[in-house]
Amino acid sequence: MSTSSNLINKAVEQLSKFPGIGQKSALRMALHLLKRPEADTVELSQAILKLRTEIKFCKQCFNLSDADLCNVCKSPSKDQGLVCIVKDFQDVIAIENTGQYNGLFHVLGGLVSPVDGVGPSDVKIPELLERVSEGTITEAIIALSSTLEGDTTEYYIAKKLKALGVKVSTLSKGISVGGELEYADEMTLARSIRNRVSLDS
Amino acid sequence: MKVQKLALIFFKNHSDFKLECQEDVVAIAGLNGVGKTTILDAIHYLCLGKSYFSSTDVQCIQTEELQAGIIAKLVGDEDVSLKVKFKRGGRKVIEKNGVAYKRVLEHIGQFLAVVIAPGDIELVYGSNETRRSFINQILSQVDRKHLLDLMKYNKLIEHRNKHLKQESVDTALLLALDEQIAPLALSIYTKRKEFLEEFCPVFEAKYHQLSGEKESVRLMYTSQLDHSSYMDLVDVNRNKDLAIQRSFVGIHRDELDIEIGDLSLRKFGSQGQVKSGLIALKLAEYEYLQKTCDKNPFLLLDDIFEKIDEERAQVLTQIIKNDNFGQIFITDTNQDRLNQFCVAIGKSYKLITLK
Ligand SMILES: [Zn+2]
Repeated sequence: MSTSSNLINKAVEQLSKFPGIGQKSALRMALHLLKRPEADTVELSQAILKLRTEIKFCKQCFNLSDADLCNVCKSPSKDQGLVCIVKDFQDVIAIENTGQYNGLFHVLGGLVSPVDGVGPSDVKIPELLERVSEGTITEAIIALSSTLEGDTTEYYIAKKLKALGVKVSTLSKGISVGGELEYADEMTLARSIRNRVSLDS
Repeated sequence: MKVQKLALIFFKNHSDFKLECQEDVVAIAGLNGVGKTTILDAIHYLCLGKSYFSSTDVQCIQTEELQAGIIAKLVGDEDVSLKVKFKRGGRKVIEKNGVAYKRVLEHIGQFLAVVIAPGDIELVYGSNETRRSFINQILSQVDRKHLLDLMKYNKLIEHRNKHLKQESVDTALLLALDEQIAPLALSIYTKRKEFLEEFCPVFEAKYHQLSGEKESVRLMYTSQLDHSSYMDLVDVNRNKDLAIQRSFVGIHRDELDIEIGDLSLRKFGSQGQVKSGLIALKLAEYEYLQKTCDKNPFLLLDDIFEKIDEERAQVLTQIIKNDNFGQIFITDTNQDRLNQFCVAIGKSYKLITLK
């Protein structure tokens, strides 16, 4: 896109890098900023900059966090013996939003996929096992998508956790066929958390 | 179901080919290299979503072009329009009556086709893999679950092989894969066994009809799963897996051999036996699909008279004349021979000559 101002062109170029934002929308956003008071834009850019430079990963569960421990891990009302194992942050948000779950999380950051060269130690599985061997966790819910990679990761983790004496269950399958947790609607997700299937057999 | 209109765009050696035909038999004459086989391949594409003669879609796009397409109008109990489009580096799209399928496999099994072509000789002399794909292809058309099982199985074995090539192999990860592979291996194995029990008698009957002989004929199936479960097999062969860095065990190692009179056709068959055996295999495929799906597949005959002797050609012509077949597409370099065939069949026909 080319306008009369190189400043606008530059902003449009950057804004259109967002997912789902084309050049036209980017231009609208840029013009919107110019219409609003300058202070608004300063606040926005500071928020963005702080987000990017100050965000941390929780040392315990690898969720996004402001401090060493995230808000979920810090919350005294959470069941410290229960952990839900998910692929990424969106899954934490989806499960928290159901209001049906009152335990901790463990964010793997990916799924085991040997074809793509992703082994168990390339996601946060060693950290999970270490965390569990430290003692407080007695029950784990594995909440991964029902894809081939999700299943492989689930089988792997379930075996390892059971060997450590942890009670393991999984979300009832078919919550969103072939889809990811983040797309499952809250009611289905809530139901599948309540109806989780024990893998102790 | 018959093809009434067919159009090929940038597909192999046809930039813009159009054909109108309503006849029972469509006969295509012409010299080698004018694109006779391409027309048969296009029908195969419309039915199975892939080429019979080329291993990739890209090979079917003209070298100068970015995409290719096949468009057809089929008439029968209901009229259907089909369109297959594929691009270099893009996804293949199949549309039925203007609606694109989400996944190509949803199309498989609705329209059936059986090809008889000179290259089929590989079914006798080629590897077990060739013969496995032969039965995979038949089963994929009649059983969607089997197709999905196979796709998932192959994907898991791919994961497994890739991991076996790593410097340090995690046996717990192998186990996680094996626990998923085991039920699939069993269901594919069981399906193959069931299929061959039904298929072999048809194969034998077709062979007797073609050769006039009474020898016993079968597809001999041997699998590692004949004697053990998948989990036991991987357990015993774990060290072998690690040594060869590939999955040594599974239904991807199943063996299939064509036997005539209890002898391997590949090793001991005469030329005549091989020719009859191949055509019998294809006619059996035709009858199996026809009976199982309760519809007539297209019969696509590519240059068959060139490769078989006069006597067998006569018998085959008689079989095609007397038995119930769907629309037939046939190619030949010899126009007179093709004309004789069309007349002998005694059905409506259209003979075209490509230049
Ligand atoms: Zn945390």
